[in-house]
Amino acid sequence: MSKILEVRDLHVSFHTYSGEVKAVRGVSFDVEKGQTLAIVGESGCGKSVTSQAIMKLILTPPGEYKHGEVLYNGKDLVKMSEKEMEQVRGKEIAMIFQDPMTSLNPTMTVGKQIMEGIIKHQKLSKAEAKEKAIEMLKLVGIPSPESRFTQYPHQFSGGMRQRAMIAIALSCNPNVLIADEPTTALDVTIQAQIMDLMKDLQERLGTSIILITHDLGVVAETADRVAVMYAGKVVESGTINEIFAEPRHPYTWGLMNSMPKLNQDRSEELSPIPGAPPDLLAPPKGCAFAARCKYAMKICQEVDPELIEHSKDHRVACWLEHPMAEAYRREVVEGRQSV
Amino acid sequence: MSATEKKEPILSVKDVKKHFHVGGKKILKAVDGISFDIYPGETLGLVGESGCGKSTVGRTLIRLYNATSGEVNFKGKNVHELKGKELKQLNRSMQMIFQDPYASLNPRMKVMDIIAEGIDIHGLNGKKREDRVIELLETVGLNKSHATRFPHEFSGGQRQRIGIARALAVEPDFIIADEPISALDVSVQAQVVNLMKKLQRERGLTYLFIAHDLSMVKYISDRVGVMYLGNLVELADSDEMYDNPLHPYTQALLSAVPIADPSLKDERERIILKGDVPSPIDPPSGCKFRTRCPQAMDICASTIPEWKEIKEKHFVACHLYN
Amino acid sequence: MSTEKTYTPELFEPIGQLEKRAEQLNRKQVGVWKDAWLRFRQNKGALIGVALLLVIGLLAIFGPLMNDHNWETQNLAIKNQSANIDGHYMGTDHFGRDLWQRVWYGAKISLEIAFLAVFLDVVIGVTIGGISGYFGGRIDMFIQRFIEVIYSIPNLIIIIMLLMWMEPGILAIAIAIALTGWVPMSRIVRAQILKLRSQEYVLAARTLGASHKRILLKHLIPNVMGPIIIAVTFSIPSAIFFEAFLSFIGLGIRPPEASLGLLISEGNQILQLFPHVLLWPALVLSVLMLAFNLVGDGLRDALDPRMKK
Repeated sequence: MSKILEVRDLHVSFHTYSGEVKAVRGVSFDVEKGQTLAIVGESGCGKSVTSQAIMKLILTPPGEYKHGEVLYNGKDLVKMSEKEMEQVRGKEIAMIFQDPMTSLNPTMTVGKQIMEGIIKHQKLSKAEAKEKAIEMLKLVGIPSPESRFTQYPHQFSGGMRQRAMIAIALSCNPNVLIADEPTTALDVTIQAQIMDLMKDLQERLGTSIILITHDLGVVAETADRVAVMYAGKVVESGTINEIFAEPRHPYTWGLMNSMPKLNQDRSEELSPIPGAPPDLLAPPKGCAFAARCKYAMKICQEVDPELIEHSKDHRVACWLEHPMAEAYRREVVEGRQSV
Repeated sequence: MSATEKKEPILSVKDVKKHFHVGGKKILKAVDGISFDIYPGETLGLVGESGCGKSTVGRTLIRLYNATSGEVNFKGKNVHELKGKELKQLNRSMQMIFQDPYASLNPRMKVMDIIAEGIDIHGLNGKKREDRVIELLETVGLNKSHATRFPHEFSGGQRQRIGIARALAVEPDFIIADEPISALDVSVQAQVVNLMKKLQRERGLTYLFIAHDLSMVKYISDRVGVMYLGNLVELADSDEMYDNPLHPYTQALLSAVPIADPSLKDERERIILKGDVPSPIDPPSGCKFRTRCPQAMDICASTIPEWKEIKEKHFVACHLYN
Repeated sequence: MSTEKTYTPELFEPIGQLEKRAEQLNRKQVGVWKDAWLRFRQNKGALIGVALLLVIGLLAIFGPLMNDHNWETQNLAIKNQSANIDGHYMGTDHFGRDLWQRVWYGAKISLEIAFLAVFLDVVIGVTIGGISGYFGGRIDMFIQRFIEVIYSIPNLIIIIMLLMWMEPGILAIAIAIALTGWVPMSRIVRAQILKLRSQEYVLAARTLGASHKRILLKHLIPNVMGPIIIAVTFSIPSAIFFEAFLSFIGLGIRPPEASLGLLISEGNQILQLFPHVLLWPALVLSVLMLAFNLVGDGLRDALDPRMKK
């Protein structure tokens, strides 16, 4: 399997009047061709900033690309000019957003919005573009696409709008689709429809997907690989089977424990993660999770752990992985299992 | 909850409707005739998708809205007929927790004044106001030093706990929690849910828990009601509801919930509903779910299904069970 | 771990959760107003505006103490002097009165009228806008139609009628300006309150049984303060300008008193011969308008919630 997109040690900051917010502090991951990588994390962990940084949608200023590269087929997108990026956006990498209402232009018919990208990137005539646009609407499961073509976004329901967004994103056969919380604003039954559609389209078109989400359930059902982000860093990454069957980072444990299990006893308490994520204006010296971590050690407050390989498909950034903490780690894992 | 049969309901909702006029002669039937009881000490979960009217139900119960018709009997008295002293008493015994932790606290007020609002309004100055606020802060896991801060300095979970402290200040028996966790991060949701359960144990509170997150609702509720387009379609004990859903909508809703376990991915059979929720301004005739129902019959278009107790304590409104 | 660094075993001693720290607040205590100030002071134009206002304000108060003349003594022997002799920093007008004195005295009168007018604007505008927005429905409908009627009468007619009935002076002119000036203020307040009254913290207050008065005074008005302050900083210069306009056309302050408008009007009559008589008050008026607008822009950027991160 080959890598289509590699993010290497990406750092992105925002300059605000109260100081520099280090939103992304060294993020690395790969996206394999035809696969889905899910980036999971809570609000403010930098997952959306990462996705926008890949598309170079961060406004500079106030944003700044401090360090790192985004390699798309070996070319570094960070170094590309705005003009070169225009050729990448939409054609090579496309994006859909959380709120389909604000990401569609309310004064333009949906059909025109789909045609725009097709005309720009595929150099088709108007008539051909229209044909293609209607085909796209059909592809994403919008009934009676010919009449929908001439309608405006407000005439579409939330689910329909997200379908239209997907149609726009996929109209130029991009190699990578970045979906930033594509179903968060939608109801569960509609979410199921959209996730189903995305999986189906991926199989048919071979698109690689980066799925940004906070919902572990959505991850489990759609992704091939997962990167868990916390406070601007990837703390654990691997295939979904590894991450769900054998999570190794205390933050990942925390995320999983704070959701009720299917057959959770109602008299049993949930185990939340206490406190709140650190302020990225002044990130802590050591591991960002140390203050909230049940298993923190002295070193966690001093030195930030690196992301190291546990197995070929599983990387973790935690001091518990260090050989010197082996005995303690065993204790911790046993303790977790006995609960 | 075997004791519930003997108990009198603390709240009894009878055929409540809430219609809104939305320009011209159009009427939005947000809640279109629902009935249920809540018993002291229990948690009733109310689930449904956006626009199904579940939040309107909560707001109508606490009189933020006046019901178009029907009765809301709280401790034997119709909430919508209360005036003066009795209304003030209602404001003390029935309270609400809101959805958006950023919008539910006045940004210009200090936490001390936010929590003490109920104390000030009802003149509950038995103890010193400050002591009472600190006690409440500690109840929700915060402390004295937080009293002089402004809401924007707190995280979402902390704010939500401040909102709970505000509600507790007037010592209510019944709390309506309107999507109290849906705006929070996963790891923080559990903080709030644990707190709510602890308060229920310690103070014998009764909850109406409105949410769309079905796994959390199952965990926190004793009984669950499912709403669709302004009507209750099913109501049962929560284990019964999740193990044995009867209404096709409930079945679809439960099967659509993503489960955080990739090993179950292939075993589950999912019912994916077609189309969108119709507009509540012009809902389908008969059973409102028929347009998306995989098992719709002819009768569904013509007749509104009856709300019936199919099994003991398991209510459903569907022609399949006639 | 691949790094060559060696770690001592004691570094790997478990310390457990630092729960106390976890419940601590991340951010330093920054009040809403301090937060706005931090943003305001980053705006250079606004700071220049503040400095200009301070200078003019101080001169309007203390300027008249800075030479030995006063604003009303005539001395026809030295009329229309443009040069600075004998402490006449700005020269004299066509009655030989000291312009320095008259300009700062006039500036003071103009500012007094403007502040008084805007104060009345706020009182009337906030009350009516607040009631209209909060209660909504029929009350709102009635008030809004009433406002439209008021607003459709040319305000000059209202003002002329008022000034026929009242003795022209600071109070009368301020009332005249406020009589129509409150309408935009009430519209701003109404729009804000309409938006805020369905906020959850207002609903929370209602479920606690708060009275209308309490909700308006404790929950709504404090949250409309930002837009009100912004509107005020933009109403002051327009009130100053309107006063100048009234005085210019002879409806405002009467000679021998002084206001910026009146001084400009007097200077205008001898503009071609002695331009300095017009120049000085016009300059002060312009700087004043500019300064208020700069400050207003700065405040809008600092207080407007849409700019918030």
